Amino acid sequence: MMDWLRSHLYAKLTIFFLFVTLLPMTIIWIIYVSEAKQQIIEENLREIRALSNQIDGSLAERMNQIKLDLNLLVRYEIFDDVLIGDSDLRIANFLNDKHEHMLYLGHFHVLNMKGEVIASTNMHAQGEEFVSLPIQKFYPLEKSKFSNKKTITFTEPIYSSFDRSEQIGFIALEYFGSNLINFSSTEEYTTTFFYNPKTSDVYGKKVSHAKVYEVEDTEGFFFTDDVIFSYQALKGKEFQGFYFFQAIDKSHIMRFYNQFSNTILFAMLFGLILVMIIGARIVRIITNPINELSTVAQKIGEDQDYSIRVSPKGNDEIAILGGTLNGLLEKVQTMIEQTQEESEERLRTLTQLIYIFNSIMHQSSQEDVLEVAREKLGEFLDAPVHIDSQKDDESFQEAISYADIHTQKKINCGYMRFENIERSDLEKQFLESIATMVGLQIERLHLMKEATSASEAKSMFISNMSHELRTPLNAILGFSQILDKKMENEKQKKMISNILTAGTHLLSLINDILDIAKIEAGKIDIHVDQITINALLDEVEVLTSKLATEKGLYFKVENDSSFTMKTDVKFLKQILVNQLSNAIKFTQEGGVTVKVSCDDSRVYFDIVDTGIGISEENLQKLFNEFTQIDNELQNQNKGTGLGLVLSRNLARELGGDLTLSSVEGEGSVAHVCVAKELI
Amino acid sequence: MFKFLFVVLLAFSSLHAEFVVVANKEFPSDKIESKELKKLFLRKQKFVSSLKIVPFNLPKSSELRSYFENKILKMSESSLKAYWMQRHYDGVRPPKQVSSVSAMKNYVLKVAGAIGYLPRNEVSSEMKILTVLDR
Repeated sequence: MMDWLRSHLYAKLTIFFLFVTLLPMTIIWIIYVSEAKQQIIEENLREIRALSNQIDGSLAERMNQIKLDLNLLVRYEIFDDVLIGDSDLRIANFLNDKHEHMLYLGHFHVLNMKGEVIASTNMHAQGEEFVSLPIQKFYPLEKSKFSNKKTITFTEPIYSSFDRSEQIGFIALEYFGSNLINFSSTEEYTTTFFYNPKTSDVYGKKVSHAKVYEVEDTEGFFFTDDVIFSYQALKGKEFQGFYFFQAIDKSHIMRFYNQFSNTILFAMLFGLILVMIIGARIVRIITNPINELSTVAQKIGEDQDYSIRVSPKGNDEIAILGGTLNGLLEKVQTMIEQTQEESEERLRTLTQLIYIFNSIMHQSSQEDVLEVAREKLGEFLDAPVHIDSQKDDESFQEAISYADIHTQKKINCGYMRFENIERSDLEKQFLESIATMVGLQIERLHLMKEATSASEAKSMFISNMSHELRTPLNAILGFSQILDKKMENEKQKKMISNILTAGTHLLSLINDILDIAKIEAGKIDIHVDQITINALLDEVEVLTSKLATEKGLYFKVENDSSFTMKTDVKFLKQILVNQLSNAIKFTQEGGVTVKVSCDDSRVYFDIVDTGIGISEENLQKLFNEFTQIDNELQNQNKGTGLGLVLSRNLARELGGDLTLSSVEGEGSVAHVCVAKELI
Repeated sequence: MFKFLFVVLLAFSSLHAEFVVVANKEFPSDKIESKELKKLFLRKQKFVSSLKIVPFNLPKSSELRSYFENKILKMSESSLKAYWMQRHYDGVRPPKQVSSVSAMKNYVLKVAGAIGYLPRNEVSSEMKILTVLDR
C-alpha cells in the first residue's frame, strides 16, 4: 500500500487534497463538540428558570385570587346565618353551590366564634370543632383535620351584615396540595413536578422519578444517566419548602446538538465526496499529461516507433517538457530514417554487385566475361569502363590476369581502364578486387574446360573400352558354353568351367565399370516402375538366400509393413543384391538380416551381418573406387571393389544414399535408403 | 274560586291568627308603640335607649309579613319598594330578611337588638313579647 502510494503521483495528490480539506472540517467539528454541549445545557437551564418563574407567578396569582374570592365571599348577607347556626342550611347550600363551580379542589368551612364548624362542603367536618380559632390569613400545607388530604388553609373573618363591626365567625378554605398537579406538565420529553425535600411531598401529573432528591440551594440542576433535573424553590409563602422540578430527557436536550453534529458530519461527508470528485479531476488534469508523456516514452521504448508524438495542451511546464520530447523524437526519427536510407542504399549496391558478379560468373567464355564485366561495371560505376590490351601509364588501369593450370604462370589477358580517375583508396581497392575476381573467373573457366574435357575423355575411353572388351568376351563365353556341353572328359570340362567362371567374372567386372562410367558421364537411364515391397524382397531373397545357405548362414527378412514403391526396380534390386552379397561374403558364422522400415518419403533397408566388420579407419577409405580392404578373407573373395561405389551412386540416383556402420569383429550394417516414390 | 279559597284559608288561619311582635330579651322595655315599631322597621329610628335595634323581616312570600306591613307600617308593597329605593341612596337598607319563621326565632334569640314578629305559638320564653296583634 505505502509503496503504491509512493509510486503514484495521483494517490499522493489525492491524499494531499483530502488532508487540506478535512483538516479544517475536523477542527470545526471538534470545537463544536466541546463547546456546544455546555452551551446547550446553559441555554436549557435558562429556559427552565423562565418556566419556573412563570409557574411561580401563576401560583401566586392563584393564591391571590383565592384570597380575593374569600374576601368577596364573606360579604354575602347569607353568612349572617352563622349567628343562628345555619339552621336553614342556607350557608351549606350556598357553599355547596360554590364548591361545585370551583376551578380547583378544596373544601369550604364556616365557623362560628367558638370555632365550631357551622357549615362545610365536607360532610365529615359538619359540627366538628376547628383546630383552633384561626388567627392567620393562611396556614401552609399540612394534613387536614377532616380528611387525609394535605391542604393549605386560607381564612377570612365573617362580619354580620347589619353590624359590620361585629365578627360573627370565619370562613376557611382548605386548598388541596394536589391542585399543584394542574401546574405541572408532562410532555414527550419534559416532566415538571413539585417536590418538598423536607416532607417528601411530590405533586405532578406523571412522576416517575419518585425518589428523594437532594437540593442544595434555591435553584440548581443535576444529572442522572438519561435525565437532567433542574429545580428552583417556589417563592410563595404558601408553598414554602417546595421546589419546582423539571426533568428533561437528555436525548431531547441533545437533540438539536446531535442534529447539528450530524449535519456537520454529513456536510463533512458531502465535502469529502465533493473534494474527492473535484480533487480527482484536478489530479487527473495534472497527472494526465505526465502519464501521456510516460506512456508515449514507454511505447517508443517498446515498439521503437519514433514517429509517435505527444500532444501537449496549454503551455505549462509539462507542455514545455512534451514539446522538448517531441523535438528530441524528431531528431531521433530523422537520424533513424537517414540510417535506414543509407542501409538500403548499401543493400542496393550490394545486390547490384552480386548481380554483376553473377552475370560475370555465368559467362562461359573469356571474351564474354570481359565484355560483361566492362558493360556492367560501367553501369555500376556510372562511368565508362574500357578493356585495353596494352598497359597505359597515363590512365587508371587494373590488370586482369590468371594462372596457367599447368605452369602456374601468370597470364595477362587485358587491362580495365576506368575513367573519372579521382577515386579514394577504398574504391581503388574495390576496383582491384573486381579485377582480381574477373581474373579468377577466367581462370576457373580455363580449369573447368580442362577438367571437363579430361573427365569426358576418361569416361568415353572406359565406355568404349568396356564395349570393345565385351565383344570378344561374349565370343569366349559363348564358345566356352558350347564346349562345356560337348566335352565329355572331366578334366577338360573342369578347365572349360574355369574359363566360364573367369569369363563371367570378367563380364560382371566390365558391366560394373560400364555402369560407373555411365553414371559419371550422366548417361544413366532411370525407368520408374511400381512394385510392392514384398514382391521386391521376395525377388531379392531368391537371388541371395542360396548364397547364404550354401555357406551355412541364416538369411532373415524383417518387414512388418506393406506398401508400393515407385522406383527403378532393376537398380534397387542391384543395390540390395550387391550389399547382401557383400554381407554374405564377409560372414563366416551367423547370418544376414534385412530390416525394412519406411516413413512418408523414404524406404530404409538395413542389411545387418555378423561378419568380420570394418575398422573405423577403413570405413573412410571404402568408398574410394577400386578399393578393397586388406584382410584374410580378401584372398578368398575376389571382387572389383566397385560394388560399394556403384551401389552408393545408384542409391543417390534413386533419391537416397548408402552408408556403412560397423564394429570390427562383430559385424557391419549397410544402411540403404531410397525415395519411396521417385519422380 | 280563588277568592273563595283565599277567604277559606284566611278564615282558617284566623282561628290561630294571633301574632306577636318579639324582641331579644336585652330589649330595654316590655312594650312598644305602633308608631315606634313603624319607625324601627322603616329604619327611621335605629336605637331604643342605647341599644342598636336590628329589625328582621320574614320572606316576601310570607302572609304574616304582608299582614304586618299592612297593619303596622300601613304601606302597600309598591309604596314600600319606592320607599326603600329612596332610602337606598341615603345608605339605609331595609330590615334583614330571614329565610323562615324558625330563622326569625333564632335571630331574635341570638341578636341583642333583634326585633321581629312571629306567630303566637312560635314564641319562646327567652324572648320578650312586645305586642300581641289580632287580625
